[in-house]
Formats: sequence, structure tokens, C-alpha cells
Amino acid sequence: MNKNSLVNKVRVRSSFNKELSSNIFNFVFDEIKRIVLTDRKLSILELGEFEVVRRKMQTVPDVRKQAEILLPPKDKLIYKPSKELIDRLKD
Amino acid sequence: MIRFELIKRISEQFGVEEIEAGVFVDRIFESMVSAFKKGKKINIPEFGKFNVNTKTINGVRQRYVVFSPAKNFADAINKNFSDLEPIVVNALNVKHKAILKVKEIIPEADNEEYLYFEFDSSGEEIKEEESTATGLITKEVFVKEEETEQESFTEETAAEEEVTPADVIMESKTEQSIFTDINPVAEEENISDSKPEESIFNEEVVASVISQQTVFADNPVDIILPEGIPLTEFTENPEEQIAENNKIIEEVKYTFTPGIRVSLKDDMNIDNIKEEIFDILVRREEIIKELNVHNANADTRHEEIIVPDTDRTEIPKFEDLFDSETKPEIKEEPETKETQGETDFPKFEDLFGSFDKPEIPKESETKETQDKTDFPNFEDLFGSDDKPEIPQEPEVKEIPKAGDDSNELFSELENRIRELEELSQKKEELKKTELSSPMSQEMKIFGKLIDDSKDEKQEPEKHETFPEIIIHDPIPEKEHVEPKSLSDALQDMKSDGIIEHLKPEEEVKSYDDIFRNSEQQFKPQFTVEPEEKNTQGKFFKGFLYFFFVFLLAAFGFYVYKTMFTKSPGNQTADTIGVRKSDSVRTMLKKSSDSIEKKDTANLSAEDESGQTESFEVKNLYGVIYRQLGKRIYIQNKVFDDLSAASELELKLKSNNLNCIVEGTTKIDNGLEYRVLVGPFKSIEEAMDYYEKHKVVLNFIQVMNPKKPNLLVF
Repeated sequence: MNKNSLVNKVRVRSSFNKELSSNIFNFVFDEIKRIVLTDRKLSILELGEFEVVRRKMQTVPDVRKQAEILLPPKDKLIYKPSKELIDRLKD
Repeated sequence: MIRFELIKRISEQFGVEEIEAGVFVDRIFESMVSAFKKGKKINIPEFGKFNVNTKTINGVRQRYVVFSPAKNFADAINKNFSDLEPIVVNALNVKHKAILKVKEIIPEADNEEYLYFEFDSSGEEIKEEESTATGLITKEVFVKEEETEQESFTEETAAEEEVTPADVIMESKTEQSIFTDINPVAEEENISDSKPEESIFNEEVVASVISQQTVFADNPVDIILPEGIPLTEFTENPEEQIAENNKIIEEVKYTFTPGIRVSLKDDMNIDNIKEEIFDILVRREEIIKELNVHNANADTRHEEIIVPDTDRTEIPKFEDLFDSETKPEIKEEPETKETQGETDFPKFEDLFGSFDKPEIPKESETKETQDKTDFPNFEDLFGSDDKPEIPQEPEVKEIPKAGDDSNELFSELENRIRELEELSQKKEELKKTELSSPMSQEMKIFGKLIDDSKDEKQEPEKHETFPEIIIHDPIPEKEHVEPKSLSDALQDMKSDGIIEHLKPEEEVKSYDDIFRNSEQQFKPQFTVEPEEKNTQGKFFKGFLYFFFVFLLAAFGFYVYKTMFTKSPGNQTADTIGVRKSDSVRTMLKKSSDSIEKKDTANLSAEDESGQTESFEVKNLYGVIYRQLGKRIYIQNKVFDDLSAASELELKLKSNNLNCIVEGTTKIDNGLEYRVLVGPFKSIEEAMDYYEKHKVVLNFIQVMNPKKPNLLVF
């Protein structure tokens, strides 16, 4: 399911036209992105929790090069589905 | 995130009401959840992908939503560390077939500096050195080996040594060796700008590398030495040094036979070289022995084969050659000079003349061996202090001396190897000639023997076959008793098997044949043929029986049908002639008369006045009593077709039974027609009438078996 089909599915029940509904859809996810980048954590009741986690610097073996590589630290987005979503998926 | 803020922002941005915006946002998430429930993936560009996977949580396998952010989104999240790249900290295995160069220095959070080296050629292998702020460093010298130029490269490693911050990295290229010196403590700019060509030349290190020839600590490498390279002393000008070395390499290339390579391992020294030479000599003597044997065989069969003049059979012992203190000195003899004049090889005396060696007294055995050999002995080679000088061969003179015994050893080694090759070539030639040459006498004899053996084998084998002797049990002889009668004679003949052996087609010639024919006639026929006839007869009789039964049934059915399906006219009954069934007719007439006698006029008037749809009053054992108006009727049959109902009505009326046809609508708006017998005043009267005339009523019903409604008894 892509964005257009999702927008159409939502739009059928509302009074918005297609363009407006797609704009609102994009705005919602842009806001989610913005909040994740600024606050580093966001929880939506229906979906779950988005959190930015920092991975520490570490050395890992590289088999191809036969060497040890020092990986730099990295910020990574982690998504954890909410309990409500898991319960609904059980049904 | 507070949802209210989001909804407010949406309403401000797009000018919609907050309620509508809230409903829209809720529906977005609801639709997403419903899609997850269906197991669908959701791809939102520039945000990420939601995927539904199965996962075991607390031992229960269930669906789970996984999110992977889009690349732009992930990069935006990792914006702080996007510039950093992974660094190779410690190379575990480094090959020596590439050139190293300084790539970059990366400052770390702990203020440590990492020197990062990478091969210049293909980037296959990477080598790094980690330098700390204290100046402790691992020093390694890498050497590149080029096979095309057949140059020698050395490698020096001093693993994990604590040295002063002067690191040495040597890069050796095709014909020029570039030496670099990198100081890790230096500032970043200086190090990053420093190139290998511009680096400081460390003379001491280079000199040590060249003079040592073999430095193998952690990473031992087999060095292929160009044969006989003289190692010149290190000069102040490195370019001149390189030029001289190149010249020597060029000379060596053309003076030595191609394809021969002496590989020296890391623990190679003069003693080892001597051992190698000794081994080569031993191999040489073995090959010479083989050649002598071949020559001896070849002289017998082919005189033209040239055998090298090698009469030496004894192999010099290594103890005699190198352990000169134990052995006595061998005096000089003129024969050795002659042999030396014949050979092209330099003596070991000249080569290893510097070794001290005690004098060896004369011995007859040694003389004999020296007479036989055309090759210089090791005793002479390594104990040349007291011996007169022998003019050296021109090849040896061409090679410039380096003031080291190793050069002479190398040249001697080269000569021996060359000799070995020649001998091996001769050996191969001999083998070829053996294959092409005619067979010797011995081989001829052997071949004859082989041929004779083959001929013997080719002859067909004649085995004398002896008849098998089979011992049977003795058969008791029966006493011949003459038959008393014909039957006895017949039994005897049967027991003897005379009758069976005789063919039936033969002409009758004797009494026995006649008797046999008569016997054949009545022997099997009684058993087989009558049975077949009986089965056919039974089948035929059964068929006829069933056929007659069927005819009777059909006739009876026809009779029954014609009796009670008499048309209103009297034609059918008259034509068939079933007048004998008048008794039934009279019975039916009586039953109808009993109904007619009851005030039919009043009843009909009442029915016509309150003509509505009948309803079921009682269902007694399948017999339905219906009430129409105030009258009771017995439901005889129900039809979907009006014609069938009217037909039954006619039949009943023909049998003097008063009846009506009632049309009603079914639940599915269809029509059905009930044939009702009556009317009666009360239900008891109807039941009495049914009990009295149920035979007739059922009989008529059976005769019209379209839709049975009444139970048959």
C-alpha cells in the first residue's frame, strides 16, 4: 500500500478533496519527522514509539579486508510498535 | 507530540476546521492499522516503510510491525556523524605486493592520531599503524617484489618495538627503491603534505637492509635471489648505488641460464649453501650412475649412443668435504689438473680456499677415486690453503667479487645446477633412444617367450569331456504277470504309460492302438462336456423364468390399470373386457351413495356461501382433515398442476366419490391444487368415512403417484 491509496482510503470518508487531503497527509508525516529530529522521541498511540538512539563507537572485524575496523558513532531511528497495535494485530 | 497541537497546526495551515482535521488524522492512523491487520506493507516516501513480520514474543508467534526509515530521513537523523567514515585500526594480514602511502590522519575524540595507510595500486590490502601520543609505535618495513624484473626485495620487521619516533617505511619500486621516513609525532599538516619521494633518506637503515639480505621476523618471505648478484658496499650517493646494482642485475641475467632460480630461505647462510651444493652433488652422482647403467645396456644393443665421460661412481661424503679437521690432507696430483682442464667448472678449492684445513696424507683409495672422477672433490675445494693456485674459469672472473664467500658459493651452485640439467637432458635423450632403438637380444628372447605364451593361449582349449556317471537307485524288477482279462491288460498298459506315448494321429495298426482309441472316447467326455451343457441350460432356463415373470407382472399391471382408470366413456372398459371388476365398482358406488345420502344440497349451499380457503383441522397419521367454511373435507392429494388435479377429480367422481379441487397460493407465490373428498358435517364423521373407505381412497391415490400425501396403510 502506497501513499496515494492510503490517502484515497482516508479521503472517502472526509469532505476534503484529493489535493487537500494529500497535502494534509504529507504535513502530518513532515511534522512527525520534524518532531523526531528535534525532540528525538515521539509516541503515537495508534502506531507506536519512534526514538533516536546513538550507537557507540566500536571496533568490528572485517573479514574481507582481514582487519579490524573502527566504526564511528551513529544516530539511529528505532521504532517500537505500541501495545494497542500489537493487540489489534493479534485479532 | 500532543495531538491537539498537530491538529491546530493543520487547521491553521490549510484553513480547515479542527474537528475535521482531527478526524482526518485519526483516520490516517486507523487506516494504517487496518492495513497492518491485513498484512499489507505501507511505503510512505521520504518517511519510511512499515512492514509486517512475524515474531515470537514470550513464546507466542505473532505479527509485528517493523519500520525502516527512508535514506534522507536516516541521514538527517545521523547528521552529526555523517562525515565520519569507518577506519581500519589494525591490519591482521598484510601482503607485501603493493606500495604504501600515507592517506590521511583522522583526529579522534580521545585526541589520538591514527595513521592510515593504504596500498596505492589496487587497494586490495590495507595496512595501518596506530600511533599514540606517547610516541610508541610499531615499526614495519615493507618490501615490494616484482616478478617481471626478477629483483630482490627485502623486508624487515621489528614487531611491536618501542623505538624513537623515527619510523621507516621503505617502498621499493621497479628499478628504483624509494625510501621514506615518516615521523608520526610531526604535525598533521607536515605529515599530510609529505610525499614518499620527498622524505628523508635514512642511510643506516638502507645499508642494514642491503647488507643483511635476510631479515625475517614476523612475516617471513621467500626471496628469489638473482643468481650471483654481487652486493656492493653502500655508497653515499644512492643513485649511483642503484645504477651499479642494476648493471650487475643485467649482467647476471645474461650470464646465467634462464629458468634456474635459487631460492634462499630466511635461515640461509654459508653453511646452508654448502649443504645445498653437497646435495646437488649427490643428486648428480646418482644421475651419473643411472646413465652408466643405461650406457651399459646401450652398448650391447646400440653402439652409436654417446655416453658422457663420467666414470665417477662414488659420492663424496659430506663429512669428508666440510669436516676437514678429522680427515687427512690429500696431496696434489697431476691428474687432478688434467681433470680440471677438462671440466668447465671452477674448483671448490678456489672458492672455499679461505677455510683452514689440515693436510691429508696420501691414500690409495683416494687416488683411485680421483682418477675416476673428472669433477673436483670437496676436499680440494674447501682445503685450498696449502694447495697451489689453479687458474679460475673465465665465467667466475667475470663476476665481480664482493669480498664475501657467498658469491663464490653461488657461482659454484649455479655450475652444479647447470651440470645437473645437462645430465637430466641426456637421461631423457637416452630414454627416447631406448624407445626408438631396436630390441636387445634379451628383449627379443623375452618377446619370443611372450609370443609363445600368446600363441598357446590362442589355441582352442581341448577339454576331454568324460561322461558323467549317475548312479541310480536300483529299481526293483516287477514280476511279469500275464493279464487275465482285457481290463487287466488295459490297466497294465496304463500303468506302463504305453497308451500315453502313442500319438493319436497315427494309423491304427495294432490291437493296442484300437484299444487306445476306444479308451479315449469315453475317458474325458463324461467329466467336462456335460457340465458346460448344464450351465448353458441353467442360464437359458433362468432367463426364460425371469422373462415369464416379467410378462406376468406387466400383464397384471396392465389389468390393474385398465380396471381402475376407466375413462368416463365405457369404451375402454368395454374393449378390454374387465367386466369382472364390477364388484369393486359396486363397492365404490356404495361408498359414494353413502355420501350422497347425507344432505348434499344443504352442504353445497353452505359451502358456496362461505367459500374461503380451507385450513388444516387435524392430521391423523398423515391423513389431513381440512375445514372449508363449516364443512370438513379429507385431503386426498395435492397437485401443482391443475390438469392432474382435475384428472383425479374426474376419477373420483367417476367412482361416485364427491370431491372438490381447491386452489391455493404457496409461500413462494406458487399455486397448488388440493383434491378434497367430502364434505362432512364434523370431523368425526369424516374420520369414520375414511376408516370405512380408506382402501378405495388409497388405491386411487396409489394409481396417481405424482405427489403422495396420504399414507398407504
